[in-house]
Amino acid sequence: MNALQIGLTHYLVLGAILFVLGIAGLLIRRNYITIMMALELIFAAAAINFAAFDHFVWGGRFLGQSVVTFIIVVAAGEAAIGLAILIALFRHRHTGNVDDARELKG
Amino acid sequence: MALPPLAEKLSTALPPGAGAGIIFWIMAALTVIGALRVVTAKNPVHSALALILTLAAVSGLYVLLEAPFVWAVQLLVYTGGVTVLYLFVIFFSDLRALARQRWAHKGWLWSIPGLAVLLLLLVRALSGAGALARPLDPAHTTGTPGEIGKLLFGDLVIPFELSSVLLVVALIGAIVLARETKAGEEAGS
Repeated sequence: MNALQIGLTHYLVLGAILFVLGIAGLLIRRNYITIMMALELIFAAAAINFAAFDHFVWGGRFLGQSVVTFIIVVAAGEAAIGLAILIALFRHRHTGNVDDARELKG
Repeated sequence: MALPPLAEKLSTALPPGAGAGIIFWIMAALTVIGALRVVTAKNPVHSALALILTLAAVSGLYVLLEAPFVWAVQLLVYTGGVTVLYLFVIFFSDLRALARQRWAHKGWLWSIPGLAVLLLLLVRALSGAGALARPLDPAHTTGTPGEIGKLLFGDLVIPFELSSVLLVVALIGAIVLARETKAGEEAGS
């Protein structure tokens, strides 16, 4: 198979790489804002998968592309709430480290 | 259409569809490089700039997937809006406190083999997915705003309206959470 003939698998593997990098960000970083950016990577991975399935499998019914639109909407809401929580955390604790936010920890 | 000699030579040397392939590899490389930088950069501002690169490259992939509406939304809302929100929050908070601790703990390196196994399992599971692909319908159209709009106001009207409720709730929640509490007032009340 020619390396320049791009198929469904190429997009899915790219989505998998983005997903794993996002999980890596969640696991190895303790900086609140970097963790949220890693979440955005996971959203992007899911969106790529939906767009690729829309193009290669569902063939122009645009259902997958509409789902990508919803993913962007949800990601925008998540960013607003998450960053508001960061501002509240920073105002009360003067930290951006998620390990320092342990007030609810038993 | 008369092509310049070099372009003509290239267009005959390459198989049909190769241009899309080259663009895919460029965009995929930019996406992965940007994502690596998002995860590893010490400075959150560098992470946010790398996130812009990643999301812009992903929008390039949407062009290849014949999704112009999603491409525009990704660039305008995501790359232009959400990442600027991130940058604003970084600038409004004390950067040094945010950048103080880079990695989770001493043992963070141990998560790398686990992540590699996860990636291998995912790629292994996806290797058969190419069989799902169907040949494209010759009469298919691209995902223009009109086509997506017909779907959003037709079959998907209920999730569409619910997403507006979600956005209002997120907006009000963000205002309540980030509100400056007056001195003496109980925080979070």
